[in-house]
Amino acid sequence: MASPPAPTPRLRDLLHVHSFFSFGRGASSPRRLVERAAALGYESLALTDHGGVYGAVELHQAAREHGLRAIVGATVALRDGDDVHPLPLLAGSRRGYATLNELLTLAHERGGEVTLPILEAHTTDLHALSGGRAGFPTTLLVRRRFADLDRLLERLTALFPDRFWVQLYHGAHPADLRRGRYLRRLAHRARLPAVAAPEVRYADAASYPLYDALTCARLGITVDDPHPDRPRNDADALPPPDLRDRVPDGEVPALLLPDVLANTRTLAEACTWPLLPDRLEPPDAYVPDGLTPDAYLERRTYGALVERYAGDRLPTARERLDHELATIRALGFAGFFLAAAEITDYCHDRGIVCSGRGSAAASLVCHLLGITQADPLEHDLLFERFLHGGKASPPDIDVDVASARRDELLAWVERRFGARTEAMVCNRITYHLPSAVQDLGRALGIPPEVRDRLTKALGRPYRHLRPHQAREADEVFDEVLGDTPLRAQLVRLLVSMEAKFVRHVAPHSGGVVLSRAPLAHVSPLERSSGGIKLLQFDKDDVEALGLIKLDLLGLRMLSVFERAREEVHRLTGTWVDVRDPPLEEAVWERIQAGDTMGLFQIESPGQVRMSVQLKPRTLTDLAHQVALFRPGPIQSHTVHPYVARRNGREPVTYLHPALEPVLRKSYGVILFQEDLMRIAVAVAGMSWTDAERFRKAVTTFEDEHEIRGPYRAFVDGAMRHAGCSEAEAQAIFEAMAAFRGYGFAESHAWAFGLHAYTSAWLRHHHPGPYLAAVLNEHPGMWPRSTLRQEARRWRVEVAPLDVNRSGAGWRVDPGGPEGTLVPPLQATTGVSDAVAREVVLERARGGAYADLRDLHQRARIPSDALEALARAGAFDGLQARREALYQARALHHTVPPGQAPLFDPTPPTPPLAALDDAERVVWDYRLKGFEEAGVHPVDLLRGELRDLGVTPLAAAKEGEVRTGGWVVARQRPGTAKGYAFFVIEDGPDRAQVVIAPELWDAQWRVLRDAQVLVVDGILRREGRAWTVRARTVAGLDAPVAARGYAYGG
Amino acid sequence: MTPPPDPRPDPGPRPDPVALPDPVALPDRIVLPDGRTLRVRRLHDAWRVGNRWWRGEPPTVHLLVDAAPDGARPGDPDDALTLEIHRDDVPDAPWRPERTWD
Repeated sequence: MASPPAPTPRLRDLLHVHSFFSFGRGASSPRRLVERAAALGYESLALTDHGGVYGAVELHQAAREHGLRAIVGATVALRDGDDVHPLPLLAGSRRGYATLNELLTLAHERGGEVTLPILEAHTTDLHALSGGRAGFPTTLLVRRRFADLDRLLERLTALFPDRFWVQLYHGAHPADLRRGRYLRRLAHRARLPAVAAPEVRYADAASYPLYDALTCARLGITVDDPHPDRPRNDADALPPPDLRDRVPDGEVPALLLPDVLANTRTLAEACTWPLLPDRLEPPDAYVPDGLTPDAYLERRTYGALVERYAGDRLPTARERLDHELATIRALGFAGFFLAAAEITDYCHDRGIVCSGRGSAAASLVCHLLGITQADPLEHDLLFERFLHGGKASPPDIDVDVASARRDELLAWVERRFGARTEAMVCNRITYHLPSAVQDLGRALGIPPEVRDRLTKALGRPYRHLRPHQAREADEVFDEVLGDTPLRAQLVRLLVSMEAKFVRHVAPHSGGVVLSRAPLAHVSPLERSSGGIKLLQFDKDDVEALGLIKLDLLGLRMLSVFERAREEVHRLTGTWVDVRDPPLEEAVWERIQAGDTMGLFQIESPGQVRMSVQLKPRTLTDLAHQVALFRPGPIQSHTVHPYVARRNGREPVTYLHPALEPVLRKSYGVILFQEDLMRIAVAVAGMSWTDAERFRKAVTTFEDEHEIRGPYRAFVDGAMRHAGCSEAEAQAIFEAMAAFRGYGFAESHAWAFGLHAYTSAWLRHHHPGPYLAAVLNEHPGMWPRSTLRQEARRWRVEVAPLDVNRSGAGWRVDPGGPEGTLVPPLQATTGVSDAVAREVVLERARGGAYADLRDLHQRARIPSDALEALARAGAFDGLQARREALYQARALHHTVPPGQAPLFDPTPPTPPLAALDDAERVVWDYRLKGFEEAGVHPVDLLRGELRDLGVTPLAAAKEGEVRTGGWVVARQRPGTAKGYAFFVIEDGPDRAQVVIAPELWDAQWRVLRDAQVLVVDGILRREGRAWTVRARTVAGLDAPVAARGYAYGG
Repeated sequence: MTPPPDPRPDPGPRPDPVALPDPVALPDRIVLPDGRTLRVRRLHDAWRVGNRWWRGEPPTVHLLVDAAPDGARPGDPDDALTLEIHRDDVPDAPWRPERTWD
């Protein structure tokens, strides 16, 4: 009887795989690699990216979903004399992982390389592979340096006893078959195990062009340039397990021999251990001797409770506090809260304005510790959104900090909590269409000016697109590249990129991780180019790892509060309390009229209209208003029903009676993330844990199949728990699913609503100091020119820039109804803070400057800054502007700054024509972005506009109108279904122009380029909310373009 | 070395297997430019060369083989050749001789 044929030998484990986290040396995500490996029948996958473990969490999550073993490793660059060899390392245990992280941290400190002595001290529980084609056995063999090969092999074998493995690979290069056999003999001679580990750099052969193009981009060459580091073929793809794509039938390469496959399996099993979850101890917060963290937390919060909640509020508050403390105690998070409180205590002690927000604002404990300002009991904020008994990972506490002092705070946090136990979370910077066009276009040999033209033309409408959506921008590619093979190749590469292809990592805006154990146990540490200490994981990975993170975010508006408070104190000696401003009718009236320029969160044209329509009267109203203008409510068509019902124009209805207790306070519409959780609990009977998971799924899903599970769970639960019919349950679910995209947490909205009111109160009572602070910190969306125009309405005068009066920041001088704003010297483009300080200091030392020449002799400032000051009118009080400019130029060529020559070599100034008004205004706008006397760029075109039949905004009446103005804002939000919103300005008057999609499509070039827009349409005025629905538009050039606001495509 | 217990939870359903490429098959015969037909006897090496994808070219597969005329006895030095052959890696592409090595 014939025996059955022997099974074809096949790989089951992949031990040397690179993802796009090798930054230019890999072209697929860890998830995609795992999916492909699972589809091909592999059982384990080791990620060995260059210099990092960035993909480790994603690898483990994807592997768990697909039933693969995940193995964490990295490739380090080992320097040996003049050679640098890539050395793949695999972590054999959690301890080995910590060793690997320490080694990678050292490598980052040393420019990416380690030496043998460094490696020697960091081998515990690590397994080393000899490296693939670029590994030392092959490279030294090819160069016939056998003695060096033997030496290094012996040394590494000694460093990794029983843990050094000779790597066999097959990349379908010439002689790979023979080389495999040689390496196996080498292993045998050295009594080392050989493993099969082909090098993988992308998931499938179709990604080869992308990988090749990215390699060219990394090497700085084009695809037409040969280079030894370019891939020779497409065999770096994840191979078929029998290597059939590279080894002819009947041939058994060395890496498929039984002993090699057995060793590979042994190594894979030895390196399999669970990365997720890991739980760190909370950081070492201050706790008095004799107390535990729980006891100290209890003492602090009860002490504050009796102060804040007197009389009949106390029992409810106490019950809530008991509940929260019990939850915190059960989860072991007391140390985390105390650490967060230490940070905000530091801020309060040093006058750094700070405010907790996010879901933490729902916690009474946070409120009593002084972390947050919101009173969660008064506003019925949901604690379970923040923390509940079933929550597996610590909650997020976000603290907004005055942006100007955030670095000061972060430096203290590092000193206080320790250099090895504190670091920031990283942010993954992924490719969008413009950056991919630049990198891939460079590789294809597209000249830089053409690439720049292409990315500029992508402009607002398309710059938010991902590369794989490139075909949606076909018209732009048509315009710039035409119908050429190069365009076809570029687009083909773009559409082959995965949706969130990581380009590089950068510091997160605020996520700080604090731990008791050294952070190297979970991640290597590296420094960003700005010197910030970073983990290699982002905020989602950090949560998956159970790390404790605090977000310390800079908020410019809080810096505005600080600066305004200081300016008021300087002028009046009064210290304004910005934490708890009184609620006043006059302040509300201004908000209700849409007079919200310069205010936090409610100054945009849409919010101006919303203020007029909603007429907020309470902080809760403001919180709702702030929350309404987010993708969640907008996409779920919540905004109009809310406004209509609030104003009594529409009855309040509910899709089912069970929704009424949840949605009564928002007139029956879904407004907050907490609403989704409350609905899941109240209607579908879910636990808070399931409700939180449900909320996340519903707000972040991208494909329909992702939402099927949550849909079924909700509908079945709603039918069972609340007695809904299937149709009712489905309608409720669809209303929640439409909330997709970012929606505010209620507590977050409340905190922001409070800031909005505080800004309104400060502006109302101290308009001059407030405006100075806004101009210094620039927290909002409007250009300086608009704020200057607004100053006229606030009765704040603006002094001219003056070298003998201006300082190094905006300030207010007494004089005028509400003070006089004095612009700083560095309001001038080209004048730095250092130059401004030098001029001011010398003025203080030596008295007022007589003229430009005098300043030049006394202060060492660069000649281009001096010229900029002259052109911007800083010497207008002393001499004619053109004369000052002439002198600046002459001095530049004759006398170095800061010197008073014995003989004046500068030529006398010839008679020069005075600057006319139009020229002066243009120079002012170009150099400073505004003009002190209040002349507006539209004033310079008044005649031409009159000839075109344009009615100035101030005179235009409601109804059919032709009007126009300077374009100071352009918006085309993704949620607006193709509508665009421009703001035109004429002096202190502004109107929002609503552009329908058809008009945009027909006129998008005009709209993209116009500096002054002439609009035919219907004008409506409600308070300060002026809107023109455009029928036709035309564009004019202006002598200056606004430094305006643009976003949303 | 004792491997640790398998920490994997129950694996979920595997995705549908992907279609595998056709294996690289040795050709039976190769026709030289002068019209002679040689039978391929032995494989020495095999490799792939990356396509100039930006010009629309496909990748190629190369083999280094020993080939001899039908009827030649093994070890007969005069009639056997060692030559490199290649084909485009697309369906039904013919094998062509690239060059001889002796």
